[in-house]
Amino acid sequence: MKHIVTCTIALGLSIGSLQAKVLTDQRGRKADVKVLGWNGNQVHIQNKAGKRTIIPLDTLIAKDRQWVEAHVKRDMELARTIQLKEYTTADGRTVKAELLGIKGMMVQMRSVSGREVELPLVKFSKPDQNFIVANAPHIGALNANPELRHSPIMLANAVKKIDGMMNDWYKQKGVKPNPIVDDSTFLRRAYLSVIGRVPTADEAKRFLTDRAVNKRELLIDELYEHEGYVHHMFNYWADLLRIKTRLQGRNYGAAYYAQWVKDTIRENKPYDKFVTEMLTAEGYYWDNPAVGFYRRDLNMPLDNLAVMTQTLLGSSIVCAQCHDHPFDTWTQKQYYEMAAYTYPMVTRLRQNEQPNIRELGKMTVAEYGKKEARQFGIETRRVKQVLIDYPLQSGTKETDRRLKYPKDYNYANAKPNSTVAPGTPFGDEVRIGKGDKTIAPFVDWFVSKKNPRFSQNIANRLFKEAMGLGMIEPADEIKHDSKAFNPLLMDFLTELVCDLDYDLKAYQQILRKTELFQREVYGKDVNPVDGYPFTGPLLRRMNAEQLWDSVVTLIIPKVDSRYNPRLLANDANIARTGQRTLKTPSKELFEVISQAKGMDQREARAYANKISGYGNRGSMMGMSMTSDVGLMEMPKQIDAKALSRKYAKLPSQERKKKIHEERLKADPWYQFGANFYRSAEIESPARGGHFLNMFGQSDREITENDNQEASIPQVLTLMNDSELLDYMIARPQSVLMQAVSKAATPREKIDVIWLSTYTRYPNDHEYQKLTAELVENESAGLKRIMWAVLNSQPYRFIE
Amino acid sequence: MMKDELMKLDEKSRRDFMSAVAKASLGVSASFLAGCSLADTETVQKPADPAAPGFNPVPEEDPTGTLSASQLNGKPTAKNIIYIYLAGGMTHVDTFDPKPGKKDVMGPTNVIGTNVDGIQVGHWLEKTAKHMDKVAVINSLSTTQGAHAQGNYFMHTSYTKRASIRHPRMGTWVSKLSGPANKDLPASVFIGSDSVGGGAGFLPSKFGSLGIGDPEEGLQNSKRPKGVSESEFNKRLELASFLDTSFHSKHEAKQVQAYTDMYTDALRMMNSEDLKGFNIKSEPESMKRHYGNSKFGKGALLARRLVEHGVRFVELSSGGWDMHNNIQENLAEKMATFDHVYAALLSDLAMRGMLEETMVVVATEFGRTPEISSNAGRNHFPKAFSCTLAGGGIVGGQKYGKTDEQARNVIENKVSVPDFNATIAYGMGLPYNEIIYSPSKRPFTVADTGTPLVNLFG
Repeated sequence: MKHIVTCTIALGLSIGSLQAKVLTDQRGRKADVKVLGWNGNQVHIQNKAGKRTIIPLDTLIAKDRQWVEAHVKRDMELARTIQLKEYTTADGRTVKAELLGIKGMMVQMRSVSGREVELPLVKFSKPDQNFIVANAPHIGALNANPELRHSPIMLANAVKKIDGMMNDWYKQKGVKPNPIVDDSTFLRRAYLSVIGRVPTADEAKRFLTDRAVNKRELLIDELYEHEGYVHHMFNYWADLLRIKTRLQGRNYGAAYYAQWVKDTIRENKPYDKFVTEMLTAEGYYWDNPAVGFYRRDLNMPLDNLAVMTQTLLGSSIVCAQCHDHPFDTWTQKQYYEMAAYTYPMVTRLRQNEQPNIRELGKMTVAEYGKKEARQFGIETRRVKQVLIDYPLQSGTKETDRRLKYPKDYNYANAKPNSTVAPGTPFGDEVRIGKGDKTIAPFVDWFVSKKNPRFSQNIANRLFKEAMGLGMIEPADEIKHDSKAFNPLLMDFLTELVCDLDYDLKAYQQILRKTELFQREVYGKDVNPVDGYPFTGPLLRRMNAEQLWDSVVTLIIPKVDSRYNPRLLANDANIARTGQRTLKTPSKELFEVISQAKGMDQREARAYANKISGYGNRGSMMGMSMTSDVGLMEMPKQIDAKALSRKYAKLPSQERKKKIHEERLKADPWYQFGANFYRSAEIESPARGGHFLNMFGQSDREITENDNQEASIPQVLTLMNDSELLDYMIARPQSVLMQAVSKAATPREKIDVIWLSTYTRYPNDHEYQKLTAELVENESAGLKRIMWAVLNSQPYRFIE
Repeated sequence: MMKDELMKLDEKSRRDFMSAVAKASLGVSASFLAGCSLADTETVQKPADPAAPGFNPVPEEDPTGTLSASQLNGKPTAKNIIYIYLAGGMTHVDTFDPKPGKKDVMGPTNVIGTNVDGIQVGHWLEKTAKHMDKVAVINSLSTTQGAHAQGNYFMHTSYTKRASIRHPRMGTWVSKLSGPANKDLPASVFIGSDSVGGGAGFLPSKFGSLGIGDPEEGLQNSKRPKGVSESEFNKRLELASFLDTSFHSKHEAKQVQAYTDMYTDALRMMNSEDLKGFNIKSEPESMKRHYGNSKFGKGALLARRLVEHGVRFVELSSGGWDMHNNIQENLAEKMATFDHVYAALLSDLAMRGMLEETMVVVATEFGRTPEISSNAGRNHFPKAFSCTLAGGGIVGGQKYGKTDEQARNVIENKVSVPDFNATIAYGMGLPYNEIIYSPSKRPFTVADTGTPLVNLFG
């Protein structure tokens, strides 16, 4: 399996003269498609299965963008005329129209008279609904998962059902739910909840002026196709799975793992598959990045099992690692029985399992004799580490290692130090024959729809993500006698996750279309005695990532598509070295290593770096540097001198403009330096002292560890560190200032600021006060207003 | 001493103290140290008053915040702690547990005498040797954790590292259990790079240490931004408070109130006279020279200033003690700094009369192998290692515990990491065996099941 870039689909269908092409998006993902047409920022493509998708042109790498612009007909017509036919509405009328696409519950069509309309899917007859769902181009992302297509009607019914169950519950408890929020509040909440940042002024305006009656549902659908969803959801999983880019100061392939998790989210891989791939992952990380799941807990299989159970089954068994669980029914024996399934997975491979490395050892002994060979090994240690040990240990493998009870095992139900027979604590039994592999059957049990905890856990966790509190709390400590606040609803949601075949995107969309999600927040503390009345979602502070991402959105353009090429660089270097080492005959390795003999530490380090390609991309002893590692395209480096030469003849003003345009085209962020990325594109976790760290980003040491608590350094930073404010206000190229400069009057400028931060228009009182600030001295006024906004409560909280 | 302490306090703190004393005589609380948190509990309800104490208000629903006489197990001889952490594993053999005449053990290190008969140290500690009368050396520490991250974590928290929970470290416990001595400043400060991480562990983050990266720079962002006058700053604050008005009337959650409190605290700190505790630049030249020009030395000077201004717990970390290769060269470099700074700190504290109430701890995660490796270094050695305590009620000039001739096995008075930490807690008067529950309802204590080495105190 090569996950990092591939999702290649061979083309089966030929559509005449259409352009067949392997397109690559900016994340390095490829799709073999027919390009049907393009127009403006839209590209219409069709894959092997005949599925059609409209994707934004600017998600593609520059080369492919240019190719589309140069070779494809600038026309969406071709694609649009294909499904011209007669459609029947639910009330029996017929209409002849072209099927343009489907976006959520809305079908886009053009009548024969040329008028473009949007019609709710439910308006069509059942057979036509099915036809449309199967055939209409799905307006979304590259490689939208074709396996998961649910009837929009089933989805809409689920929303209704949840609303009904909540209303019954309110009636039964005599609770009056909060009113539904206005569009502005909904918009801000939806953006932060789905794509993890506040909308820009333009995005806000577009929604607020939209007159469609179902615009809230449409917005939810649209946001789930947004790249921002990948960023936000990655942060969620990075916290749960404790994804650390580096472990004990070293790279260990986790950047590939992180990338894989992002890809998984982007293609909306069914959750059971996602978990299966992690829990069964074997191999080197560059072949299978999902090995990062086990490698996160290097040589700590018991801890790994405890965290796996906590995060993926919602059950806290860690106490049982040392003794029977005091508050639950878990026994230490059960813990060991469960751990026995995954214990055979080793998280560090032995380099000597590779024939050429084994041979290298023999060769060294033959050359130097046993004693001298040891000395040789010490002298060349650094080089061997870089060339062989680090990369070739970077993987996992299921072995015949078996778990034993501890030597001080204290209960009568098993003998200390005896081998543990694997066993499941609930659900079906999983029988393992003598000598059988244990992990695959265990994982089958783990992700089975019959395992009650697997679906319930994710249903509850994502409910918590949406509303602020789980149906069962604590969400990671579901016990045999835990009660959901609304047990009927909990059961329904658990079933729903199964019925959706673990399509988490669809599930989350449903939750966010419910009335509960759209109600005014509950802004009090959750009282342990009375419990949480669930009259609306909980008032929450933005988490560190939401806050940082919202701030960065005010600074750099196209914030969601700026990817950090440095994230993968170190892991890619190690992978490249490892791949080369695997292919290199032992004799050649021996020669390369021998060169380090007699070098002092510094020389040895420099030599090791050189041959491994760190810092320098030179080839090793004539070996070619071809790499199977897919790396994303980096913004192109522009040769400034060549550019000025190119436009030397133009007058200076004109020349500057041209050069700026060219540089902008190659790299839209060239004016912003390398610090501003969305949080998911910054190393995980961010270093100490970083804004993210200060505002409570999880340190990725324990699961679900982000916090939204106030602290002194946060407040001092917001008040007294002028750097962020300068990037927003003092630079004309910032997103905020670009928008402000387009606004003509002080009143409009205030509008822009309010829309970009609070996602609403100011009230009269605010207009009065704020325009006065601007009239006196505009630039000082702007700075003061933005300072006050960033330091204000309604900015950091999600209402 | 107590009367003098009282005079140093400002009017408000004095009132709080008096009220605490009143409470104490009514049997509610008894301890100078407990007075602070008691005062907090009393006033936490009205944090809008900028003069009100509330730096680390103890939440009212939290029954463990206030100590009663029966819970207070240690005897508070140490008002403050300066906790020096040598990350990487300080070699015990070459420093505080030398073996005279054992060339194979000692490698490049000679053994020298000190100002205390019967206590010898490695020759790298020439300056420290003159202050051993202030120091208690513990030679019999032993840990089960032989890897850096795990060993460091264990030393800081008394618990082994788990993927399911983060334990608080000593500074956090101090913050939680006894609160700040000066309400304008935090109870616990961390100087240098954070070698262990984890914030406040499972306790609320407000109990965590305030981090100072560069001692010379002091507290970041503690002054108004450049070019912003006081009147402009006030205009900004006024505008922000205008923007908060309707929000505050709608939402009463503690989390919202917490931000208001933080702004109050931060502004008070910005305006506090005691902010100069963070500024070592105002020390006289002679004092700067006394501590030397190293980052570690500046950190120690800052630590002393902070303690003077009422910060209870200051951790000062120094990295680079993981000497697998060429230990002679490494020791020459590291020890020159450490020896100078440690001796400077002890003598400065003693001169100022602060050593009586300030405990200086030198801790590390494990020792190093008592033989020189093929890389001319020493590898990890968890089985036996040494740490030191000085001041704050510790009787100087003594050794505790013993290793064998090879510095390899503890043969007398084995001390576990939790025992060591319990000793520090005992010195501070923390209720070291009081059970505190994590949010996940698991029971923890300051130093796990450690037993304090009470004999080290006078």
